[in-house]
Amino acid sequence: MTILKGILTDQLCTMREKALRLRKSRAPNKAIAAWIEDDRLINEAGKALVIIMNSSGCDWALGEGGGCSMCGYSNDTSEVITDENLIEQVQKVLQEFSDKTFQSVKLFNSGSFLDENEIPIKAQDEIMKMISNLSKVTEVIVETRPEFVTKKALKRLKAILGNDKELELGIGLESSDDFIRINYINKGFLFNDFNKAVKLAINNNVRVKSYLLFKPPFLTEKEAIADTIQSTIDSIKVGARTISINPVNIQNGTLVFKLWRDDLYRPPRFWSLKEIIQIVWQRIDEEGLRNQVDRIVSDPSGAGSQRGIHNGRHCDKYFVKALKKYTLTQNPEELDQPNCWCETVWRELLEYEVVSRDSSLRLVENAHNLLK
Amino acid sequence: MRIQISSVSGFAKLAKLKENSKIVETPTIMKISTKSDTFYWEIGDRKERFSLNLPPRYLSTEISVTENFDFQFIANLFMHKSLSENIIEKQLNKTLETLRNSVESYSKEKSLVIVQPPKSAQIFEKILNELNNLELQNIAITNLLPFINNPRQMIDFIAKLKTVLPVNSLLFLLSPIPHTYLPILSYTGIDVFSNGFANIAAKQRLYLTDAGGDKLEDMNEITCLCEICSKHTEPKEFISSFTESSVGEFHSLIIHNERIFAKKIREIRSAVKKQDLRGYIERAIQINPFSASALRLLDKNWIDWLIARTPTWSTVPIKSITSYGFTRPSINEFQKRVHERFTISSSKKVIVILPCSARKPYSESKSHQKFRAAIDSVANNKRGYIQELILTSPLGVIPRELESVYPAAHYDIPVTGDWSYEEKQIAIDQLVGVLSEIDSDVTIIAHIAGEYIELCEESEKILKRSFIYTSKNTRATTDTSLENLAKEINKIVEPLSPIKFSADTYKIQKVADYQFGIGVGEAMFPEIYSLKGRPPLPFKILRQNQQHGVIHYSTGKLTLSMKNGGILAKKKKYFVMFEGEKLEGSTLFAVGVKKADPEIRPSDEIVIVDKNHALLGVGHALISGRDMETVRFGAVAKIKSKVK
Ligand code: SF4
Ligand SMILES: [Zn+2]
Ligand SMILES: [Zn+2]
Repeated sequence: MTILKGILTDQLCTMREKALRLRKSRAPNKAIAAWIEDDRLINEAGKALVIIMNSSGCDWALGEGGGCSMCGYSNDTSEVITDENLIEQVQKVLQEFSDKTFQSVKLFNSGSFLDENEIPIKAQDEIMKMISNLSKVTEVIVETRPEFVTKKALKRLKAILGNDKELELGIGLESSDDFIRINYINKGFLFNDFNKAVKLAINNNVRVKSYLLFKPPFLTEKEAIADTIQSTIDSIKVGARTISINPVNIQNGTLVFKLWRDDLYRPPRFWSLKEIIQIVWQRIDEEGLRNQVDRIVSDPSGAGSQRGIHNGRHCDKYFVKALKKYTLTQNPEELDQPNCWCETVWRELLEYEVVSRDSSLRLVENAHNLLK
Repeated sequence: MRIQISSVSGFAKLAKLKENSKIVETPTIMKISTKSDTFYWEIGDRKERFSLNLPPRYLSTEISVTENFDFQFIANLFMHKSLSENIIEKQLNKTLETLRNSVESYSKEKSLVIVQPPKSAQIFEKILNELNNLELQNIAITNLLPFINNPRQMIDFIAKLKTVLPVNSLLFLLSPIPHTYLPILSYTGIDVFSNGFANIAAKQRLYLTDAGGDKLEDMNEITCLCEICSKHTEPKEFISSFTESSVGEFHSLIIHNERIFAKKIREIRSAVKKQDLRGYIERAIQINPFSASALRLLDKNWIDWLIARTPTWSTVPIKSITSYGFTRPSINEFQKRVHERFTISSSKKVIVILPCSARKPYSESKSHQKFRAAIDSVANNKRGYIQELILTSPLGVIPRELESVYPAAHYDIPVTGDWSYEEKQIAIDQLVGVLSEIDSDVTIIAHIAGEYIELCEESEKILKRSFIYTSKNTRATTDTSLENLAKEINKIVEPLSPIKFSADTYKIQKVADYQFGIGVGEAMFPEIYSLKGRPPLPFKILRQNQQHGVIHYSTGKLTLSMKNGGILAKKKKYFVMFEGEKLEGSTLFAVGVKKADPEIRPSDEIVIVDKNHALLGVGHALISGRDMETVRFGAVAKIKSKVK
C-alpha cells in the first residue's frame, strides 16, 4: 500500500510520537470498555453490544502516515498485545453480558480489525467464532481501513460467522472529496480505494458502513455541511448501505485539539447536522436511492459538550434526545422539534464564516460579553 | 486603483482610494451585499463603494480573477498558529510560486492577501517580506478574535504589519470586531473594518449604542434618534417592532446597528481630518478597557514608530488631557527634544524657574508679563545672563525660547495645582534633565509657589544643589515675590561684566536647534536678527531688512530659506535624496526618492538634495523619512522652492 502524504503528514507524525509517549499503560487482557446501547439495526431499532478493544493501535497512526488530524484513538492502545490478550478481552466481555439480549455486536479496536499486525489472524478467527455462537445476534460490525480488505480475509471471516449473521465493515471514508480527505484529514487513501474495498465486500456478501467525518478542520461549517451531504450520496452510490455521520469531537493530542485550544476550531452545531440529515433524505428520494440505503445513523461522541457537537446550553439537551430518536426511527422529522432562538445566530455565523474565513467566530456567540 | 494618502496620524492614515472616477475615503467600513443571490463585499460607508469578492479556501492553488470586482482576494495564507513552522513555510513557498507565476493575471494594487495571527514573529516577518517583494501590500486579517482579550498580542500583530509594509498599504479586518474597538484599532492601523458584528449582534437581540450595547429586553430608554428608532418612544413597542417585522426578522435592528458602526467610523475619519485622532482616541477608550491597555502598550512599545508618523507641527489644541495623554507621541517627542536638542548657553549665569499659565504662549499671559517685568529690571547689558524655564504638566519643562513651538503653546489643562504622582514624576525628570549639565557657578532661582515647591525640592535632592526660592510663602505674582525675584537676580548679575545679547536671535537659534538638531541654530543664524510680525501672521526673521525665513505663529515652526537649506544639506540632516533627471513641479513623488533622513516626520521642513548632497530645493514632508524609503508610489513631500 502506498502512502498518500498530505500537507499535514509531517506535523501529525511528530505530534503522534509525542502523544504515544504519554500513553497510559493498561491491562492487556481487558477491553477498554463495553456496554449495551439502543441502536438502529438494519431494518429496525434494537440493541447493540459495543466492545472497545485494547489493541496495538492503528497502523496508519503508528506508521509514517502519522494518523488522521482528528483521531486520538491511538492514545487508548497498548504497545504489546498478544493474540491471547485480544481473545481474552472479548471472552470476558461476552461473559459479563451473557445474560443480556442484543442483536448486534460492534467491535472497535482503534484501528483495523482486518489488519493482521493489529489483530492477528488467530485472534480474528477466535473472536468471530465466539460471536458466531451467540444465537440472537444477527449482525456484526468491525472497522477497517480499505487497504486491509482482501477477498481472502472476507471469505475467511464470513465462513466462520455463517450465513445467518450479517458482517458489516465500517470504513472511515470521512469525505468523498480526495482533497479534503488527503490534506485536511490526512487519511492517506483515495475515494477509489474505498470504492474498490466496497466492491470486494459486496461480492463476498459483506456489507459496508461508511463513516463520514462532519466538519474536518480548515473547512467552514457551511462547506462541511455540503461535503457531508455529498459524501453520503457518493457512499450510497458505490454500495455502502449504512452511513454513519460523525461530527468531530475533540480528542487530546490531535491537531484538531490544538486548533480548538487556539480558538481556531469549533465543533459543529446541531442545526447543521439536522440540515444534513434532512437534505440527505431529500436527495436520496430525488435521486431514487431509497432501496440502496438501510440506515443513516449519527451517534456523536461528546454530543452536547464543549468538545462535541453542540449549540449551547439553551437547547443541547433537546437535540441529543431528538438525534437519538432519529437514529432509532430513521425518521428525519424527529429533528423538526427542538426550536431555539439560536438558530438565527447559527445561520448568521454560518454565512459570516464563509465571507470572512474567520474560524474563531465561536467568540462572538455571546456578543454581549464583548460590549461590557 | 490609486491610493492617495492625505495625512497620517500614528499608524492611522486618511487616504483616498480612486478608480474610474469613484472615490472611497478610508478609514471606512466594508459590508456584505448580495447581487442575484451571490454574496460579495462592499467597501465604503458613503454612496460610492468598491466591490470585493469572497475569500478563497485554504490551500487553493489557483488564482481566480474576474473583471467584476474592484478589489480581489488572491491568496489565503495557510498559517494558523497551530500548524508547524515547517508546514507554514512549505505552503508559503507554494503560494508564492503560484503568485509569481501568474503575476500577469492580477493587478497588484487591486489584490488582497489574507493573513492571520502567526505562529511566531519570525515567520510573520518572513511572510511580510515576501509579500513586500511581490509588491503585494493590501492585506486582509482574519482569525483576530482570539486576541480580543489580549491587547498586547493584538497590538504587536497589527503594528508589525504596519511597520514592515509600506505606509500606503491597506489593512482590511474581516473578523467581526465590536464597534467599540474601532477607534483604537484604527489608531493601530486598520483602514477598512467589516461591520459584520452589527448583524451578528442583531441576531442575538443586541441593540448597539455608542458606548456598547444592551439586550433589547433590558432597554429602558431608546437613546437613538435615527429614522427607525425615532418612530417609537416606548421601549416595549420598540422591541416588538424589531421582532415582528414584515421585511424579515431583526431587519430594523440590523439597520440601526449598522448605523452605529457607520457613525463610529465617520467620527474616526472626521477626527483624522481634524488631525485630532489622538485626542478622539483618548476620549473613546474610556468605554472599552481593552482599548485603554492597548493604547498604553502602543505608547510603550511602538512609540518610535508612532512619533515618526505623527506630524511634528500642528495647530490642533490638546484639550482636557487624561493620563493617557501624557505619553502622546507629540508630548513624548517634545520632552525628548528638550533633553537632546536644547542646551542652556554657557553664558547664562542665572536660571529662573517659573510656573505655567493658562494662556499660551506664556509671555502673553498677565502673570508672565509681571515676571518678565521683574526680570527685565536688570540692566540691558546683563539680560543675556538670564535663562527662563517654565515648569508645567504634562510637558515638564519649557524653555522660554520654545514656548511657541507645538505643542507647548497648544495644550490646555486646568491649572488646579493638583498634580498626580505621574505628572510630578514627569516634571521632575524633565527639570533634572535640563539642569543636570549646568555649571556650579550658575544660580538657580525658583520663582514658584504651592505645589511646584515640592517638585523643585525633589529636584534639588537629585541634582545635589540648592535653589533660591523667591516666592515660597506667597503667590508668585504678588509685589513682594516679584520684588524678591528682581532683587535676587540683580544681586547675581550686577558684579558681572556687561555682555551683548539679542533675545530674538537666541530664540531663533533655539527653535532651529529644536527643529533640526543641536548646533544648527548657530550655523544658520550666526549674526544678529530680529523677529517682526503681528500675530497671527508669521514672524519674519530679519537682518538689515533682508528676510531669512519665518517662524509661524500658529505652529512655532521655522521655515527654511534657500541659504539655510544649503546649510542643512551640508550637515546631511533632514534631507531627501532625489533620484531622477530634474526636480520639477511642486510635489516630490516616491519614485524620485533614493534615500531619506529617518529623522524626518510629516510636516517637517526638509531639503531635497542630489546624490552628492548638493541642494536642489526646500519643502516640507508629507510622510516620515522611513516611509519615504519604502513606499513605491504617491506623493512624499511638497517642494516650496528649487535651486535655479
Ligand atoms: S481515524 Fe482511523 S485510520 Fe485515522 S488514525 Fe484513527 S484509527 Fe487510524
Ligand atoms: Zn439554542
Ligand atoms: Zn437607531
